[in-house]
Amino acid sequence: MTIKGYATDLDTAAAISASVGLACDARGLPRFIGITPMPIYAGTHKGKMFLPLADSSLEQVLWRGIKMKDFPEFQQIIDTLGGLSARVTIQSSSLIDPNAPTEP
Amino acid sequence: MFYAYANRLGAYKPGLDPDAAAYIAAVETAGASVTADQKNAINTFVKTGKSDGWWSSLKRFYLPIWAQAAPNAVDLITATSGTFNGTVDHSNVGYVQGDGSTGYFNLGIGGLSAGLTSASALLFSLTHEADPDTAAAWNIGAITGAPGLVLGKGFGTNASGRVTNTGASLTGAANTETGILTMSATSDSSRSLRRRNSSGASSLDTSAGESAFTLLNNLLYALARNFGGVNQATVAKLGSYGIGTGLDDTATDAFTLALKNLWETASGLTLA
Repeated sequence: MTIKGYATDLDTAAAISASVGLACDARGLPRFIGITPMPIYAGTHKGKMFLPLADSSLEQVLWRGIKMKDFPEFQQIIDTLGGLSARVTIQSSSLIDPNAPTEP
Repeated sequence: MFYAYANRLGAYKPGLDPDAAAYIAAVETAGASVTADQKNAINTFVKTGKSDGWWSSLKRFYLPIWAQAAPNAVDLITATSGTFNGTVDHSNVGYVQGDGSTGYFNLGIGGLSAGLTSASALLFSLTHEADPDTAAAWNIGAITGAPGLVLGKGFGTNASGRVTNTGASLTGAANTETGILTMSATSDSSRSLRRRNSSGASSLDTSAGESAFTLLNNLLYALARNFGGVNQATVAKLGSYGIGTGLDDTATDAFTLALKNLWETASGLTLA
């Protein structure tokens, strides 16, 4: 399965993740939405951090009828990352840690 | 005058239970539009729970039926919110659906912190439509290896659950992954995996448990399990999920019947 999002460095990913939380805080909202950077273990972008952003996510209604894409902070974040066209498509399997301990 | 007085009496409706009212207020503040029927259904659920006795066991109860992320994140028990991450579809009334890879819901609490123990633990989930893949996919839980607190599908179409320090699983037969699943421990020598679907409630598996242990306290996820992060995420369509202290089979069936009634009335959908 392929998934779409941004492949970026750890510092940028952490900053983006923090900014989503701050957008909730600024409205006096609980942090009901977040973006957790995920390490990329394989493929062209191996070693980078993945920030998922599927096309479907843009249309999700987050709060009081407002879609994700219509939040002012959303556009600021996207601009920081180079715009929607800067997204990459990766295999979902590349997010699975090959060295993770297995369960019994 | 008597007619007017009788009319006033007929118009009187008892107030909402305070816990029901708090939840309704929270989801409305978060942007949901809650109908009178939905308010009544929520109120009935809470009052039934308090009357039956299972309400106090619930520690987190999520009803993501509102077609918006913020109200979908609100907990009925505490009126606080968890956090949705990754790609999650909130566009449908009655359920949420992850992408099976990045999408999950962080409850923001571990089982131990929530008051669960190896002798008293409950996980539950309501699956409207199953994950069609045959690989393992979890509705709720956390695992660190052998220690695990999880509920979902272990493989194929078989429901599975764990409250364990040794990797022990309870597993249902094929085609048991839909409906309301519960995994309950009511003592260290008792584990029960049950299911309610449109045909009624039944036992999927039981075990004699294991020696007492300190329950893991890793953050619990829904739409996936937490195994060093999001792991074996599901694309099942989930209409409810949560945790609590253990319920025996009778109390479990009373709880799942009330949940069925709540979800069907509030969503307009029918339990599989």
